[in-house]
Amino acid sequence: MKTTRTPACLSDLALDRRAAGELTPEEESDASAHLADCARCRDRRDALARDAASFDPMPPAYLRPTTRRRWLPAVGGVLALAAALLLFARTRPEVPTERLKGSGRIAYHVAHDGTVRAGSAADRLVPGDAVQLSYSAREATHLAILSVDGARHVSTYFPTDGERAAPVAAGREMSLPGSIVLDDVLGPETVYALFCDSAVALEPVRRALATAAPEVEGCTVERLGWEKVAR
Amino acid sequence: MELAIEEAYRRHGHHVLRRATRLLGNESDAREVLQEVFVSLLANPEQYEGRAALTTWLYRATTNACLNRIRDARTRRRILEASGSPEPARPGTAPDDAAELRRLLVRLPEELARVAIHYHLDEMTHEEIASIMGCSRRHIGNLLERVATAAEDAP
Repeated sequence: MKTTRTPACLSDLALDRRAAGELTPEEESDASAHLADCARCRDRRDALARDAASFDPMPPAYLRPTTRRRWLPAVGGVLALAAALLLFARTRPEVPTERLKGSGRIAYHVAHDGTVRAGSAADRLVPGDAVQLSYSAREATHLAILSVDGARHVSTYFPTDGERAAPVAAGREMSLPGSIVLDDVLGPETVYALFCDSAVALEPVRRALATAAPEVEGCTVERLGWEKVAR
Repeated sequence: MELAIEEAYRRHGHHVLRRATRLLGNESDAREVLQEVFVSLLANPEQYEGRAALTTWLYRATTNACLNRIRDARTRRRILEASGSPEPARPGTAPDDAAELRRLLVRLPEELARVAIHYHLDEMTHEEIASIMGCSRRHIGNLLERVATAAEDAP
């Protein structure tokens, strides 16, 4: 049995391709024969398999299409934003947001007439602009994002089902599902992000938002906003 | 395309994250690379022309994304801080763990960094490296000699 690396040993690439079923029959035959004779490669194969098994296979929100009732899904916008966000990756400006309390942050990018920029607090947007929301959190938390528009209409942007705050992973500038196209209701729009200890019910929050900024037990609240103006 | 991307993520996301974590030394940066690689594929699916296995294509894309970050000064600083104080390389030896390799990568020009990753991290054969980098095995051998020299000359 071989226990040190030899020229015949399988690379991680070969092991990953084998696990994905990408080897040719000849390559598979050679790989199987080597694995039968090499304890080191078997150990590496098993370690890669354990690593793969620990990976959460649920595609993250940024790869899943979404639909919204009042905010129109924008598949083209998703693609344009996705490409443009890559350009922002190294030079992401800090988006000013008003912090009420808490550890999480939200931010957004906006696509306007084919260009994408980081959104800022009190930005002036127009109907048809596409917005991509993101959050940053040092620890896994529960998140809900709601908004109140110029007509005092309350919408729930995240989670899609709008029932309760949803668990989200820790991370920096994690994109939320899809992009959203602004409707034609003009006036100030305020987005509230609730970072919560648990999956709090959102219906009471929506009722509270209809009249005032929310105070929700077990949650910290961050908000940002923009002014929606006519084209 | 979304369904194909989601399936690709389920089948291949683990090795993108694993390699990025080992190359960058922390999961937070690695998860950003994971997102960058798959969002890029979602935005421009024609990048993957199907001439190589998807695993091979993703290895290349992950390596590129990680090297871009390593060139970024802030990431470079984090890698060096997280990898601890450099220790002298043993004469005639190559980097033998991920932290040592990361310290080496921040100093190597791109082509040497790429070959060092494929040989020392991915344990690829010269033939595999030549295939993924699109050059001859002889050239790979020359590059690996330069990597070994750079490792020995490490401060």
